Amino acid sequence: MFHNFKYTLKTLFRTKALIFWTFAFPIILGLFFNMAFSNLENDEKIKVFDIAIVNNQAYEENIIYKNVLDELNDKVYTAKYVSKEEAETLLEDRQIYGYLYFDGDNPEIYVRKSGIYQTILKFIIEEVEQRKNVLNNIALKEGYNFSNVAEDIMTKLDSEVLTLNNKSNSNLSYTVIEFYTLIAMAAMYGGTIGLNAINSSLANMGEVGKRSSITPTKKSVLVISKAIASYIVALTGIAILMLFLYFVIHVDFGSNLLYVILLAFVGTLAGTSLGILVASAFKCSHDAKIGIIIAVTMFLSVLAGMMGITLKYVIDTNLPFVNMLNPCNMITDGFYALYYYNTLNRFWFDIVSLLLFTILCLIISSVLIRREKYDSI
Amino acid sequence: MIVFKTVLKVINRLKGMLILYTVILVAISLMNQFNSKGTVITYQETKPNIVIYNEDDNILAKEFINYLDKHTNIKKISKDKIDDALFYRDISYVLYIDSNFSSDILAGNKVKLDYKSTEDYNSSYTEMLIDKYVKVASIYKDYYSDLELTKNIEDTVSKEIKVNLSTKLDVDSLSYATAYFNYLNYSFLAGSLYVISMVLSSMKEKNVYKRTIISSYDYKRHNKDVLLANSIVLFGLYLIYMLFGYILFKDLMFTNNGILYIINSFIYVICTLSIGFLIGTITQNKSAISGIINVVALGTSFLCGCFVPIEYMPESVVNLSKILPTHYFVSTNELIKSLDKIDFNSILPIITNSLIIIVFTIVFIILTNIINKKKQKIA
Repeated sequence: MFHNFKYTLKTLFRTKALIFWTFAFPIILGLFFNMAFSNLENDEKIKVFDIAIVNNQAYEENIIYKNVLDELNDKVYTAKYVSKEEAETLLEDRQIYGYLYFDGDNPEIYVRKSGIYQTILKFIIEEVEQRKNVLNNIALKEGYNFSNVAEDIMTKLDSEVLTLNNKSNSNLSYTVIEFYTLIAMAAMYGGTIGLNAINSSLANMGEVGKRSSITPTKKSVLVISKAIASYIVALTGIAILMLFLYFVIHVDFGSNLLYVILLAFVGTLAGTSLGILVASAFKCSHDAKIGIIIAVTMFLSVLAGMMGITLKYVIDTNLPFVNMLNPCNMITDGFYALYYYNTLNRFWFDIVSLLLFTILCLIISSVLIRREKYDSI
Repeated sequence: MIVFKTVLKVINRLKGMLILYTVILVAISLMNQFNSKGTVITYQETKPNIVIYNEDDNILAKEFINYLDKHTNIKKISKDKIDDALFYRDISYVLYIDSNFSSDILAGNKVKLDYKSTEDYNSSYTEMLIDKYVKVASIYKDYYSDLELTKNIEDTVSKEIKVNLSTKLDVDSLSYATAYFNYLNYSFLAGSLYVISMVLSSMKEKNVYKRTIISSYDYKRHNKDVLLANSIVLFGLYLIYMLFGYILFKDLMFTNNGILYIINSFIYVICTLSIGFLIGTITQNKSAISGIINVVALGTSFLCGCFVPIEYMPESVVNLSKILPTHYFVSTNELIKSLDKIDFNSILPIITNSLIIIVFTIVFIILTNIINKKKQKIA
């Protein structure tokens, strides 16, 4: 058994195409993800944005606006004070999100498209207008001394009347999901390793298979030793990938490192079993079997959120059973549960369903492979 | 003609993968379109998706929710699903209004509200809306009461000012079209690398190659036939993708912007053809080819902003991508997206980018010839 195990290990490590797809390709993809996504979330935080204000006579005479807008300048936005033509050019060259123009007493905003910063600009200008409205309304009421009231209102407007208490979980970075799906994909690609190993002991798949079939060694010993060897190779690949993600790209896996490792072990096992199942269930060429694994893996990875996390969420909420049967999603979801949730229920659910998937694959394969005999081939 | 036909026969066997690349392209574009709100040429406020859990029965709380409803999309999501919804950005803010909300405002106490948020600009904007309402209410409560109070708050916070949209471009449709044409980089590169390197590796298989060299057929003509057959297939692919462009974006394709997209893609498809020949010449190892295709097509797409818009990418990556022709293809598409009128100044950067792509093409052709010559000598 050990002899067979040792040579399976050696053969697998020397198959270049296999090593590329299971070891190098996920790492290369991880690098690409990092380049594309590293800035995505920072750009979604609110920033000081560029606007222009047309400093015509109407604006200069509008003291309330002038004071408030000057005060907010460089805090909320950076304003350029220009003529209307210059403002129009700035807008066209996309150097500002919008500009403010006073037509007599009425402020108007000019933008090129709808968007969050345009909405915030509108919000700010409306707030000034609404403050004016508050003052006017109360000034009209009888029995109040306007100058006292005005002072009181201005202090109130600038004071904090609201305390907001944040109850969100602290880990909110959604790009980690992309890297988790990458691990899931690599674990499933690991199936090609299992497939390679099992194929070499099947008589209908090549000369080596024929020779191993006529040896006195029991088939179960052959298959099990090869399965263990391919599991170790696949695990090596996943370990390298995860070390790379953790130390080079600094992907956050949460604080339960032991559980992360457990999930990696179980996930890789699921991938290897998928490979063994495909090797034993399909009677087609080696390349076609590899094709099946790659196609299935890509499809499952996309459902698990590799090409955009929204798809995972949409399936999780609308068709939960689809993702519960999807081993790629179970791996991704397990990492997500460890990263985002404080409780472990969801994580254990994922682990158990991965184990069920593994057992199912192995039972079907063993039924298919055992007692396979040829009179001649 | 024999060579030409043979190449077409080889390519015919590869059509499965070409169809797959096309299906992926169309599926992704359709998914983008699916989220589209249709043609928008008036200004529309951005409305964050939020969830509110209210425990206060007072009219003030109800009016507060009505106000938020005007400026946000209030969704109904059960409490056990709320954390997932936040993480996957289905919503950006969850507000918990407890039973003391109104009484705190009316008593002049500091109002305390619990929330969960994604901490992005949508959630910041939601906080501004909440803050405004509470402030106005805290001031008016000293001067008005009951219905008069809510009515006055409503009057004040609903004061709007005019927003003018100063472009007649259909910005949304143009964004989707730009995403489609940017994504073409992947389809073109994967398609051309796959077709050309598979054809070349069949033609350069040891025995076939030896037979070709000793045949009486002029080797240069042989090469021309191979080039012609590959080019025709790639242009066929180009035409199909343009046709899909027309099906997806209809009349937009006949505007100035649409025509510029078509021209830009044409210049770029020639460049991908030259990249295909270069890589096909470097390696004829069939099992290496699929690896190279994925690394080159995916790599350039990620690096140059085909999948994630270039404005969201770190500057260092954008600078690095300038050594690749894809960068110029994508940045031309981005320029076309916001091209309002065509004059010398606006078209100049587009011409510069096109010239750079052409220079890349020439360099790739020269490199291919040099490598070819060296390899022939060894043979």
